[in-house]
Amino acid sequence: MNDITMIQAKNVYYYYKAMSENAENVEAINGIDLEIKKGEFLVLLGRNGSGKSTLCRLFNALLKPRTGTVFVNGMDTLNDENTWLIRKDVGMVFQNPDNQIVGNVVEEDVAFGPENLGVPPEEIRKRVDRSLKTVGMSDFALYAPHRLSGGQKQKVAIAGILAMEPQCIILDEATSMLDPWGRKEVLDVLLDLNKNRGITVIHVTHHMEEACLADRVAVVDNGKIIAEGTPAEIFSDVERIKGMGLDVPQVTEVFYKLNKKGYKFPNDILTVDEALKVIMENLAVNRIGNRN
Amino acid sequence: MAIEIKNLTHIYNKDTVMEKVAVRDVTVTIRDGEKVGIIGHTGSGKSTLVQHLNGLLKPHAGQVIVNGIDTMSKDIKELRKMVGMVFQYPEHQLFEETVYKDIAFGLKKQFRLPEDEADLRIREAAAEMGLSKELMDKSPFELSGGQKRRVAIAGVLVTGPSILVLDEPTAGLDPKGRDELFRSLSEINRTKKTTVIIVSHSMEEMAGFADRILVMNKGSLAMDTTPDKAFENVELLESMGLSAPQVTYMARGLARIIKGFPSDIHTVDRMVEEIMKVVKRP
Repeated sequence: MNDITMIQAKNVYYYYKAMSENAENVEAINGIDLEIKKGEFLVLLGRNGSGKSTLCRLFNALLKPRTGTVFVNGMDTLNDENTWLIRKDVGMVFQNPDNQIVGNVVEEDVAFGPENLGVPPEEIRKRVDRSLKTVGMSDFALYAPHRLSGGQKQKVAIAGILAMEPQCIILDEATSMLDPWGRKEVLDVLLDLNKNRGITVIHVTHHMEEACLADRVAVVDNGKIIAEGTPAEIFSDVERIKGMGLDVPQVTEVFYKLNKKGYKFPNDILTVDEALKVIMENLAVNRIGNRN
Repeated sequence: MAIEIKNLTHIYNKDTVMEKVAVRDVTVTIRDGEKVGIIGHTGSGKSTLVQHLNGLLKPHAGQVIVNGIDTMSKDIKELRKMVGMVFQYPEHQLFEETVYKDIAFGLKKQFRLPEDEADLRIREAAAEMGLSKELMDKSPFELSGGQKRRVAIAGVLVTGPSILVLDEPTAGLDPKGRDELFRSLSEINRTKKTTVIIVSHSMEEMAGFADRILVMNKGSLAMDTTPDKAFENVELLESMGLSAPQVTYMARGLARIIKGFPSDIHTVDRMVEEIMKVVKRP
């Protein structure tokens, strides 16, 4: 543990207690070791029920490990005295925007967090304005939240967390209810926070294009981390990824299929730009007919 | 028989300061056995439109006629037997002790069937949704997200609707769960000729599933097209808050570099074919 580590999970196990006497406990996390560095953009992938959401909840002390430890900014989540400090450092955005907005007016909603932290009113005012500006929602400060689109609501939820001045934001499938435009809006905000403001981002998603934006991808299955690496490293093994019930970007799949037919393209192409570059190179050395 | 929507307009909070036209003068006919994707960004009116199909919402102007029944008529019970509606996150509506009982609920409420016939239909609906026999006696709350969703859809299928409407059925599902659900729905459409109407914001998903795509924008029907033609005008789609599949963007890039390269590709397999025509195998 040192000052460049945001979150450290050591040999973490978690189970949900059985709801009735004859039922069994449900194992959710089965021995996870993971270190997340400050300023990192980490994407968690995994099929439904793999343990991603449980893991996120262990990262901000909503759940505590049954065995093992989770340190957030050097603070042990098992120590109840740390709980509020941990939740101030690590904010969480959930899937359904309608379940996490409490205010009747956008700026009231954003003020809710810092109010609870006992921040003085004039400081709250500054933080609310600054947070709304950061997510590009200043013009909507006096709107009723129900009049906003899904993407706008999630940006308000993010602003509410920013107003608590966290070091890390966790998004638990926060883009899965949004349309393509809403997803882009939220992702742009996350990239800005991460690249320009140094905020650590942990993003859970089923959208592989979003995973490609990460510094690092970790795949969770059966409560364990079964793969970990850069997006290029993770998606280059197409068969393995599909075997995990996941998918690869379409572009990656195109080259995977071409290579199966005897081509020798790189197997870690993730974006359209990379794809065009590699096709261009191959055209230059390998032109057929007069199509070019 | 078909769904006929004629000049449909629906207004929320009519005659108040909050008045909002959600659907504006939409006319469209959906034939029996079609697989239709209704696509649009949040607030485009797509969910409002489909809630007219079983009379949950009534037109403020125009008409909706489903298999000959006007949704304004008194035959609403008959209408709801024909049109099965699966809402967003239908698994939130599961409540019974077992998967079997949950699937049976709608059937028992709506129809008075002999026990053995009901049993047959419940097991058939479960099988159609790919739910194994072992799951039937489990609590629905022990299942994975994808399984729960299939239980909820089976609970609608069991009533034998000739038209199945699903609002964002894949939201939050992992890629495998999503593909399996589309396969099941295609199979039901193929074998039982059930009309399947899916509301979605993903052009990519619908291009792979539907044989007809309706795009809603600001309450109006902006496009009525096929998956093959839907991506001819990507700028128009983007202006409506939608996007094209990644391979379509790749095709457009290649069309700028390679003369004659088709710019409207929307599937991985077609892209592979076209690249093989222009790049020689090493």
